[in-house]
Amino acid sequence: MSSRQNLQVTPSNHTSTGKISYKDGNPLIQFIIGEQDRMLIGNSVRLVGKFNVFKADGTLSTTPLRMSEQLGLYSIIDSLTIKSQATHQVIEEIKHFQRFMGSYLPVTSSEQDNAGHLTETALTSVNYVNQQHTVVGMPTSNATDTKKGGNSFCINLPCGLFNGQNPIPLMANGAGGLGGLLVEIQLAPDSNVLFDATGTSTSADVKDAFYELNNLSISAEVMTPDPSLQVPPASTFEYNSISSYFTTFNSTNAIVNFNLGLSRVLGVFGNIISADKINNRGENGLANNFPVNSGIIKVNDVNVAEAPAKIQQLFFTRGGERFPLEYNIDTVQKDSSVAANAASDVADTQIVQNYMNAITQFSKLRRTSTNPLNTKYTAGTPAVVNIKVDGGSSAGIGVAYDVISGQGVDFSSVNWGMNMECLLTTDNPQAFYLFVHSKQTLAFSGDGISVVR
Amino acid sequence: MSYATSSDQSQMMSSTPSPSDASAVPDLVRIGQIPSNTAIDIETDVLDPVVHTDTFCRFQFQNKGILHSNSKIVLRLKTNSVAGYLPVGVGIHSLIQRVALRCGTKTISEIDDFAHYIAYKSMFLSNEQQKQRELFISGRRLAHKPYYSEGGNDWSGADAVLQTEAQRVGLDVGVQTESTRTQNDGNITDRLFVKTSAAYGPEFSVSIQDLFPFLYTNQLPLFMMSEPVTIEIFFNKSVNERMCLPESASGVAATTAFEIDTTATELIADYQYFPQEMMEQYAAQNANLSFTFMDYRLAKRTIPVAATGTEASTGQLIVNVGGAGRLVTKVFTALSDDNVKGISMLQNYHSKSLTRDYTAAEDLRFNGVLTANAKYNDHFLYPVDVDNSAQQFHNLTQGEGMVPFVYREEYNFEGQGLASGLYEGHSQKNEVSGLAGQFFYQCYKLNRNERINSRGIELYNTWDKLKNSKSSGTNTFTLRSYVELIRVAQLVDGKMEVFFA
Repeated sequence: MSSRQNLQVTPSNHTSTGKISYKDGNPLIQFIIGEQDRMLIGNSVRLVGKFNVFKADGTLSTTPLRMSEQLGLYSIIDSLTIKSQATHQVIEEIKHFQRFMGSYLPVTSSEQDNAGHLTETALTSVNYVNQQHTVVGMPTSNATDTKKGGNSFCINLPCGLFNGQNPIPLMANGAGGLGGLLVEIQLAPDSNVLFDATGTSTSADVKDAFYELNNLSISAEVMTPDPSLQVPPASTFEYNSISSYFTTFNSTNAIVNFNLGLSRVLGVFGNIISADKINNRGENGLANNFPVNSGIIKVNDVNVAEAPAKIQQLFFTRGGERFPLEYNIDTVQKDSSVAANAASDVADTQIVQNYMNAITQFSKLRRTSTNPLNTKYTAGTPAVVNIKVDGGSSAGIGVAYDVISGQGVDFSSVNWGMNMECLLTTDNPQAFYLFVHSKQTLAFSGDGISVVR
Repeated sequence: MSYATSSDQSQMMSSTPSPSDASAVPDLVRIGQIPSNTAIDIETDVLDPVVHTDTFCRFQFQNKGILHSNSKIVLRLKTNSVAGYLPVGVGIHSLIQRVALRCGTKTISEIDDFAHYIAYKSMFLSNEQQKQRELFISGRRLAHKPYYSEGGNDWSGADAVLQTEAQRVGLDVGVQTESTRTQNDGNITDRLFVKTSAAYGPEFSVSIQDLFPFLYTNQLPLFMMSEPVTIEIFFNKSVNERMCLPESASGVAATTAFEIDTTATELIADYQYFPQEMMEQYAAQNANLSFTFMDYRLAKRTIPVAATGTEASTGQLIVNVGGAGRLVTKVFTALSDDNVKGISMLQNYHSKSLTRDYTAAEDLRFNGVLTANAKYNDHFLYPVDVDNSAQQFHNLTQGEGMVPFVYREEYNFEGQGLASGLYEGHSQKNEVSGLAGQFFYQCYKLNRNERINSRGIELYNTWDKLKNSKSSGTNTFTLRSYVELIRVAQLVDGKMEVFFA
């Protein structure tokens, strides 16, 4: 009979103080789950530790300093890389991890999740004031005994490899395994995690404020296979993966093209933020909003600062042909024949539905925070974006390619494209983070591993 | 975020089928799918108890059909001039001290301190289910919502702030919170139908599958059983164990008796009938029917707490919770304050977290820590003692295969996000009468697939300061450990035998 054991792994590059922060020059955390004759249960992997936020002088943080209530602790992870410990070959790498979570988390967790278990494990919250009050403003952050101070957290690390159903073989390459795993977490800069809720980046409460981690470890379950049922070592291992891409657009007709180089693409989804808000302590650099204009423009004869650039048409292409939708999504805002439609602030439901479907099969989506309130078109000013209800803005764009067979669509030799018409009439570059969900295969041999994308 | 239901809860049915047409007859007693063209008749009997006092009642089923696992037992409290209300976490289950399902003279399943057990299990019901179903079925109502600053009689101020700011999270029982812009924590008055009054006694039902968890996946084939099948319920004491009292009536908590209205108690039993030939074939094929199921054994221990102001760490306590020679899948524990009963909105059915200090000098502030591990078969379950409360929450989730739907401050008393608004006069964020730090349950999933040796399972716990709820004198807490072990039931020629796997 197979049995399981628990592991607890501390960072291999830990500091002498046990405290890790981007500010102090420790942006990279490494964990080694060593080569062994056991299998890792991917969905049991958790990053455990304590989280604190301080002002520049090391005193307790105060309002208006904030962080994303939607992402909580996930906002500090800039990239997640999983390598083979034996060969250091990259198995999976998710850049802009917090942007990925900015799409994944609100779409797959409900308001009650955000008011319940996610507050405990990931330090998220259902409301921005609540998160600021309970996490950022934690009164015990300066406790002498670090185990008794700060915010406890225990988060999973969503990625294709760990979310898969199959146990991950940790054996040597020649024995049908990955040769152990090296998990690397690149921390996000303080300036993209912490921000001033009122949009003032230079106040003493916000300027040079920083976050800090301590008592870090990874906990996981491993499985020892039943010795009486030893099967010959496998030579391949199939898993889902997330690949990340980044581009900007600054036009009423945003055309995005990528050569994905992936042969089994299940879906693509992305989110958008004005480029000037990234790494800006006066702005929430992790907000998801639809495109917005810069400055003040007239909308329906009213002056609006950073007015939304509403999407009027959207379609996706594969090799230059519309695919998988063989038609344009003409949004309700494109309908100029009805004034109320053109002026509508509600994101077109077809855009929202396709976006959610790209992340999790829509018909199986049982819990979500995404709703008309946090996907509607709003101005991009801090006074609007930073105070959205129901966990914050959940806007995004995406499309699923295969929710039936699970085998995906081949983009290895043809370009992926997106064509979007929107009302971005001013000079305001929009950062577009794209994530591709695809199936990949690891091939093992005594010489090492190779990833078949 | 997605989560999976527990695989640990799966229970296996096995039988010795006759060689002929073994696959033709669906497994009628295992809850699952059957062909959609199968005709099913449901017959409902309303059974009165054969014995009923204020401390005990017994029901006996008729041996016919297949018992539907969601059959209900209705319980009602007598009217009372004191406006007591059912505990928020467990509802009407607070009446039940012990339950037993017997077949003839043999006990198939039995759970002691049932109200504590169900308090733990109820945590895993989603907020939506608590608010929209359980509030009306069993009186459980542990649902949450953000308390927005809007409402009340004060609409001055910026619209954006009034409609988007929610500093606190609190209970949601489907009633409006009284909140204003300046007092935005919101007070709540409980639903009338969960309270006693001079003219009304609350009436709710409990599902028999909640009483006997193996019925979640199996149904009892009563038509194949020749012995009488009975349910026995032992009730908690009428004084200070059944109901909660509003703050205004807390002075009479130790003297007010809330009695059961024995005229209302009934078992609504649903018997299922499949086509006669199908049931006959099933009985013929399964003359020797056996199934494994999870049963719970309780181990209790008292933990002393020093007088207020002198509380200290317990030091490492090693508690042997039994399980020797058994196949045990998990152990979960609850630590309740023996002094906190009717004066709390959860009654005694809670699990206390450690105390904290958020007002001392910054370097002296703390959140109390529980250092926990379990040892069996000479090895510890965790390679390093677990002292991170979020990791303990994760272990709880892993053990149960489902996330608890409780707020962070309710679990480990960390952060300051619970509403201070009053619920029946009790502050929701209070750590004695409210919700703060009252759901600090621990679960140890014994994942090595080993039979426990003769030494049993030992829990290694070190609690930091536990807050003494008494204003003077020492106090005691009770640690309840439920050991989930595997048993086998065998039905041979109508006679049921039960033994440990």
